[in-house]
Order: sequence, then C-alpha cells, then structure tokens
Amino acid sequence: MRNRIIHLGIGALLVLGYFAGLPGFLWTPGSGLATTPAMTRATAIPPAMPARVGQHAAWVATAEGGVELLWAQDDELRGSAWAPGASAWSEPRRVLGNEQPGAGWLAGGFVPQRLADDSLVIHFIRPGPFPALASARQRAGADWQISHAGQVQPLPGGNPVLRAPGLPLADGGIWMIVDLDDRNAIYSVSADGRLAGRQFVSAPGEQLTLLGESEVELLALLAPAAAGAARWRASADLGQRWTPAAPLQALADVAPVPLAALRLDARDWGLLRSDASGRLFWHRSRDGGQQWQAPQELARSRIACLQQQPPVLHGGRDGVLHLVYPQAEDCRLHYMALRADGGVLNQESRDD
Amino acid sequence: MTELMPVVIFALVWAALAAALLRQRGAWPRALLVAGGVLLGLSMQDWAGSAWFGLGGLSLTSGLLALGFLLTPWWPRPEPWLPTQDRRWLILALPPLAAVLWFPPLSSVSGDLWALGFGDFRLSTVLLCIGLGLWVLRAYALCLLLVAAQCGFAVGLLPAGNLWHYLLDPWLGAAALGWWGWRLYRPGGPAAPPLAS
Repeated sequence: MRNRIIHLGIGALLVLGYFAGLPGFLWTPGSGLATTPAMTRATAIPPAMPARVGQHAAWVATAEGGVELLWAQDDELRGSAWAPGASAWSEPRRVLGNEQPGAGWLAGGFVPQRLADDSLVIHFIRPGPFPALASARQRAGADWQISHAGQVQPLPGGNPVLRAPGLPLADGGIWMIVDLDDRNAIYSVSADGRLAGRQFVSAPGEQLTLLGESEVELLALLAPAAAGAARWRASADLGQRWTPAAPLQALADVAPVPLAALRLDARDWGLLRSDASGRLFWHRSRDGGQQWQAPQELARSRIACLQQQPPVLHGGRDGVLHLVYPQAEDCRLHYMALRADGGVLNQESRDD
Repeated sequence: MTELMPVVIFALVWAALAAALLRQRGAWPRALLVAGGVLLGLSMQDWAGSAWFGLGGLSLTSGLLALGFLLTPWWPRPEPWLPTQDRRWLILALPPLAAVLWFPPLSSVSGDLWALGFGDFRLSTVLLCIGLGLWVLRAYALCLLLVAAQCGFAVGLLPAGNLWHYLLDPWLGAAALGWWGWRLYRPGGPAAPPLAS
C-alpha cells in the first residue's frame, strides 16, 4: 500500500512538473507591445547639440517629457537632455559609471528603457566567460540597483552586442536585438527582469530592426548582408508566427547597416535608410507600407562609421523626431531634429 | 534568493568533489566542506573568472546530485538514494543531450533547442513523456530530479530564465562524457563515478 502511494505521488509530481515547465502565457495572457501616440506634428524646435565622442548612442524619454541622448564613453554612461521650452541641451552628465555594474559593462552595448513609474532601466551585457544580460535600474532619486537576467548563450564565450532601441512591452518587459556573431536575434526580457525568450527571424549577416504597429502586430525590417535590397517580415500575433521574408521594393539600395524605423501613427511609418555611399534617406509610408513617398536625403556619413554606430531615431511626445548618426569625418555622434515629413528642423552643430 | 542560489549550488558541488577526492565519509567533515564552499563562493562572486569554476553556471540537477552524495551519511535506508540503474541511465543520457544542445553541428540540425527552454509546450510534453517512462520503470530518483528542475524553473530559483540551465550544465555533460571515456578505457572499472554513489 505504501509503495502504491509513493508510485502515484511521483506520477502526480510529474504532472506538476509538466505544468511548471510550460510558458506562463497559458495561464495569463502575454503582454502586448507598448504603442506610442501619434507623432506627426512637431510643436517645438530643439536647439543644436555639439558633436559627441562616444559609442552605442541611444535615446530615452525623460520623466519631464523631454528626451535624453545616452552614450558610452570611457566605460561610463553619459547623457545630455533637452525638454521642450529649454534653450539648450544640458551639459553632459555622468549617468552611471562602472563601479556597480563592473568594468567593461558597456562594451556589449546597452538599451535604455523608461518604465511607467518613471524609473530608468539600462539593459546591458555583463562581460565574462558566460556573457549574461543584466540591468541597472534607478527609481526617482534612489541609487542604482543591478539585477541579472541570465546567460545570453548556452555555452561560454562569444561577444554578444545589444543594439538600441528596444521594443517595450505594455507590462514593462522589453524586446531587444542582440548581435550574436553573424546573426541577429530577438531577446525578450520579462517585466521582472528575467530573460524570457529568443527568436531568430533574419538570415545570417542580415541586420534586424523591429517596428511595432499595434499591441500584437510588428514588422521585422532586414537590412542586407551586402549592399542590396532590404527585406521584411510581419507578425500579427506578437511574434508567434512570421510571414516569409519578402523584398522591400521601395528600399532597393540599402547598405549593410541596420535601418532605423519609427511608428508615427496608425499605419504611418518613417524609415531611415543608408545607401551604399553612406547617404542617409528618410522614407515615409502612410498606408502601412503599401506605397512609400519619395525619399528625402538627410545627411551624408560613411559606411564604416555607420556600421560602428547605426543611426538611432526617437519620436518625442511633441512630434519632433530626434536623430543621431555618425559624422563622415571622424565618426563623432551628430544630432539632427526633423519633422515627420522629413523636414529638417535644426541641423546646426558645433564641435566640442 | 536568486542571487544566493548559484553560490549554494557551487558550494554543494565543490564540497561533494572535495569529499570524494579526500574520501571524507563522516557527517561533520562534509558539513565543514559545504561551509567552506559557501565562503569560497561568496568570496569569488565578484571575480569574472569564477564562472570557469562553475559559479553561476551550475544547474539545479548538479546541485541536487551533489546534495544527495553529501547526505549519504544521514541517509536512513540501506539502498542508495540514486540506485545503480538510475545512475547508469542518467550518465548514458547526459552526453547525447549535451551534444544536441551545445555541439554546433548537432545543435544547428535540432533547431534552436536552447530557446525552447524559455517555456515551450513541446519541450514540456517531451519531458513529461520521458518522466512517465521513468515512472513506469520505477526510476523515482530521476523523476524527482526532473520535477525539481521544472519546479525550480517555475519559481525562478536561478537567475536564468531557461529550463535547460536548471536541467543541465556544461560541467555535468563533461563529467558524464568523462565517465564514458573512463568506462571505455577501463571496462572492468567502477560502475559509476564517485559523485553518483
């Protein structure tokens, strides 16, 4: 009798283990993407920003409704902010040094995220034999807290690199693009800071960019491994299934540099492309990619610089689009403000 | 808890290895080795090279196997907690699984098997089938190891969010592979490595 009870008890535990290993969304609905309000009418003109020396530039919204440019320099994270109405960008500030996260913490890039409670989260790759995702979080006025999200790859070694911007989820989670040697992967981090999934949607060598359209619809834009046509894939169920990759006809001459994409309004997308000679073009489609308006040339850079620092776009709540790209001469970070129609609001710049 | 668990697993594994190598069979020496392992793990936490010694990369299975070995002096029954047959199945199964998971040519054929560990219906179903097979064969210790890893994953016992990191780690796969080599080299040798006894 005792043996039978043990036998049945072990069987019951196996069923418990089965449910324990299942993904959480079978019990609770998975969170959708966080969609942003329309950003089609610029109501402010931001001032110029001096060119900056740094890597891994990324934008993040500030708690005051403005925007802050973050970049890595000398193993510390620096930032310069601007709020609508201010006459100048703030002096560069030291956002976070390497004392807490450890030496070399920014070598693998970073992705900033502003949460609903206005705390700032910096996702980064913790270097070492087992590169792991980690995050530093700062609540208003409090110290930074470091937490670890788990190994990025199953085996030791490799040099995974995070690329901004991330695609935030409504519940505080985020999707990020990680460059794993020759492939780009989408990594999902849950709201509690734990690595929650990985997906490959691009071919080896292709550079992936994500564009969220609604809570569950998103687009994967694939820059080619060598200069040529870009491709796209779409998912209508939050990345569970993807359409086969198809060429993006409007983008025929694309350099092997990640595209920068922005959702301006429903089915209204803006896209920044680099051509083989390093020129940057602004493309816009107002019908979900069916037709694209004539491209507008914005600036000229250099492919080598663009591959080190791809252009990064951010849509401010005031309708101003903020762009950072590397200068052709010395790869320093150059700022440009533009409107949704591609009109440049302010392209002045002065050196440090 | 999440930050402390890798240190505890590290301490258990290193204490078990030390106890096996030093032939410490008493209860107190083993307890002291575990305490020493905890102190060593805590002192190594901020050192980047500590991962090469297993700190932060050991699975829950490794920790439970080491715990079972260390608890032998307290085990009340005459038969071992991990019977010989269970031990053999475990050691035979680990290297092929590790190869499919990590060896690049095989892992590319099997698809992104590692990514299924983030929570997947198919992986859970396969593990349930394996567990039911073990249940029918009355390999209860292996069933409990499997369930413990899955429950540890559900409650987020380790920093990793991937079930494979709870089930298996490179050191465990390498140890099982080493045992294979040992058996091939010495067919009349011991039936299992010291840790599994």
